Amino acid sequence: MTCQEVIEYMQRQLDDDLGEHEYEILMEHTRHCPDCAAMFERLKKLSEELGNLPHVMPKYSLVDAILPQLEQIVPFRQPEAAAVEIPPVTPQATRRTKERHQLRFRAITGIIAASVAAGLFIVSYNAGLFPSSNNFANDSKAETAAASDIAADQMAPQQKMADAQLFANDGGKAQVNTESVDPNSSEASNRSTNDDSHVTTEEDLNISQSDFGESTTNSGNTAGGSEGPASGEKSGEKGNSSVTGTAPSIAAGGGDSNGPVQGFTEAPTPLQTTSPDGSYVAKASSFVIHVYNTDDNASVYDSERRNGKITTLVWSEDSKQLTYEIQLESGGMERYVIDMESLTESKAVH
Amino acid sequence: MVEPGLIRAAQSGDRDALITLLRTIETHVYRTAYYILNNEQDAMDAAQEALIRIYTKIGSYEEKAQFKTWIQRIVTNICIDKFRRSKPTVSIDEHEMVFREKQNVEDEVMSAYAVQDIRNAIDKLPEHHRAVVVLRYLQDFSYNEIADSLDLPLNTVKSYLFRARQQLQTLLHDYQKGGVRG
Repeated sequence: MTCQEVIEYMQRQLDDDLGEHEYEILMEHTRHCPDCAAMFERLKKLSEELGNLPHVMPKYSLVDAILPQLEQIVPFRQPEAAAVEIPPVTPQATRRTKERHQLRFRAITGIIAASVAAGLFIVSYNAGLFPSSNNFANDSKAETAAASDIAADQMAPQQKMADAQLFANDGGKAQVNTESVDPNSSEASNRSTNDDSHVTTEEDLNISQSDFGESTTNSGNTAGGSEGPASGEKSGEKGNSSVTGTAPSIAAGGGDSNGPVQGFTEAPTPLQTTSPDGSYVAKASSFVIHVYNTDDNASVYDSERRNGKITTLVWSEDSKQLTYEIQLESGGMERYVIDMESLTESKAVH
Repeated sequence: MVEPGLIRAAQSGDRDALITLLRTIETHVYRTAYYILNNEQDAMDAAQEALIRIYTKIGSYEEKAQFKTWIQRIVTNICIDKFRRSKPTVSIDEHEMVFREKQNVEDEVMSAYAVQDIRNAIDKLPEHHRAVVVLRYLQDFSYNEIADSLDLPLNTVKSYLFRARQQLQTLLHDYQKGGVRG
């Protein structure tokens, strides 16, 4: 490695942009090259002094000085900027409420229909294409088989399929919700492709839903609400895997709504995790983390933009701190902590 | 860090919110202008002009960009375009910079550079190099944020920053050697 190349490493080291391996190369070189060692010292000192330059303030308030001028000016407002600003929040919120209602009304038929689907699947796929579906089969085979008997008596087959399909859609959406409120499952970066998380037992879903303060307001319906998605989700998943034709219509429905489930080949969904107390949702998009209130979707904090891809996003148990790690282009790793009380962030020690 | 709610309120026509917003950013705007222009009065003028532009253009800010890079883009553009002065800057050719002064490096490393020397050295850099250094050290921006603010490719940002630091290092070294410290 030439001295010129090493100097670039020095420069990147000043910006914390060097991976461990590169840092070792740099140190190894400077140990044997006094010129580079001296240059590195000088650059480090320069960088430190640049960082210590006085944070000057204006002598008087600039805004006060220009207030008379501002009075004369009408601020430029982009008409659609204001219009576009508000809707994304409200329709989403109402749609979600609507979904919840639909979920509630359809819960019973949904459970039955979904159980039928699950039952059908289990019967024909007891051999188990996936290890996880074996687990599921063992856990709830009896229960779903019983449910499917009842359903078979009460419903015409066409109707069942239609309901199951509809419900599979709901199940797909509900599943996104429950995942986003379950800190355990959302910790994994490619959680959506994780088979295990979809074989969550109904008990797990119950817990994660009641953790999510908002959903507990569905009093009296908690059981129905949480069982619904569970069954629906299962039916969706089984539907996906039973492509051989046992329940073609379900497979189609499941395929539409549960894209991420089968998405081993699809791009991973953006990193997202809810704080343990349910107050905030943190989403990572490319180089920045956005933190929102779960109540009103309002943005609470945007992180600094970083020089690398955000790989992990973890809340502290008390929900007061959000830790994230970034993968630098150079291969290095950096960790930062956002303090939710002061809304500040700092680089964490490794 | 400017609260997103404040930005939205300002964008939707809340004039008080917009004034509050300007107050929270005026120091950041001024600081950038001060170090790019190296002159207090020019910095005051440029910062005021930037604040007025932010006031009038707030509606055109889109949330896909970071607010802080958006305001720094406005102030750096004003500093570079409107206060462009015909004054000599150093050549930024990198070949002459490396190891030009080898002797006595070690004892000189120990002494601190004076703030005025650093400011004068920054002032000798070409304007975009200067802006990159200011955003990196006075605004604590990352490569990406600097790239967004100055509308430059990431690699250009790195190359400007690296060359600027090497140039500064050489200039400051010369100051010390020549005893021209203020």
